[in-house]
Amino acid sequence: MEKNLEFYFTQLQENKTQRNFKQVYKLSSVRLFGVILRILKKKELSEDCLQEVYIKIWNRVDTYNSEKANMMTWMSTIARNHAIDYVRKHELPIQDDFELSIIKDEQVHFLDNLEANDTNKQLHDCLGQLKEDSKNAVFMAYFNGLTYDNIAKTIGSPVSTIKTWVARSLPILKKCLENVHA
Amino acid sequence: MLNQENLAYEYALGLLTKAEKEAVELTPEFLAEVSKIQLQLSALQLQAPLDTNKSKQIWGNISQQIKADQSTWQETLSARFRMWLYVLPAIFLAFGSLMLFEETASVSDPYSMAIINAKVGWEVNADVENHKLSIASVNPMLVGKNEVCALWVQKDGVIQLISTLPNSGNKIVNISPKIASMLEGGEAIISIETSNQPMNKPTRIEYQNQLS
Repeated sequence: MEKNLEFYFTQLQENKTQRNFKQVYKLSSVRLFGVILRILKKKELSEDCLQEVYIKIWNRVDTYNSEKANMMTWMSTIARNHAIDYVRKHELPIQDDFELSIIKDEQVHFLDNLEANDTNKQLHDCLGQLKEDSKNAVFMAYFNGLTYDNIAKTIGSPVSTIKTWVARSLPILKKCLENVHA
Repeated sequence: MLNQENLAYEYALGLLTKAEKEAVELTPEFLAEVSKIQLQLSALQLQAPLDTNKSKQIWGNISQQIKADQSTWQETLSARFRMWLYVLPAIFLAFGSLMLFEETASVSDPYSMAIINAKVGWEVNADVENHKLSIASVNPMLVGKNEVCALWVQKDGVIQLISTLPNSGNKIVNISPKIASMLEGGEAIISIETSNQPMNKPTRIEYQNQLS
């Protein structure tokens, strides 16, 4: 069997040792750090949060069910949720230095990545149906952990407008995601 | 889309404020829907650009914290066992005399400097040379919902926040060389702070101790 993340994660579930966990960390931490950094923006805070995330993963490794989700998906969900909790728990002024230009660059990179991967081309094309404003709002919420209020302040539009954009984009997003997992 | 389904997407995307989230009725069906959406959304997350620029110390901290968690668990068990060794003879002797005994806190290796004794509620040890602090929550102070205990160091009129103290479990904290130098001969302070306010200086001091 190839000694990839799946191999070491399975090893870790069977034999919960630091040695196996270190391999899981090596093979997954770059991605999880990216997930966290996009939300917290600051490197030091993101490192502190990443540390907490891996402790959480270590404590919950027995609860992972491969039938429900891919292990990387499972870990990235833990990382994102923990990063959002981290912002809100510490009342961090993260949103103060948020710039709209950053999210647009991230979107371009993200969509490039999707397009480069054949299996994700379908998702890329599907997300292309979202209107620019709606896409910005959804991306800001998901990748950067911004709430309706935060997005409204960043874009300079009323909360009700953002809610309308998001409401319009959700059926498309739902369709895109369900197709990917079909 | 149904309103409830819309709400699950908003919840999963993180669009709701804390107050809005608290107002949502978290039924098992709703939480299952949120969980399903979050896993679907993770497909997006994994395609996002990577960032490789992170400290190499992180794994060391995680590894130490896991070790500390495991040793605390073992120490708790052995402490409970030790307690009975004291308590049983004390029950027999209680008829004749009052016996006072005190459980001494252990200072775990390899941390070289004890900052806070477990009797205070946390066991805090510093590895001054490597600029690391190990915090173990033993029996933490009870604080209000929006309050948190904070650890400070004070030396030569300068006061620095080191970290907030966890309500449970363990925490490894990297400290700056400046804080490491202040620990030697400084004064450790624990205060209760409001968690959503900036912490510039201790507000309600609960504990002070001169460090050697």
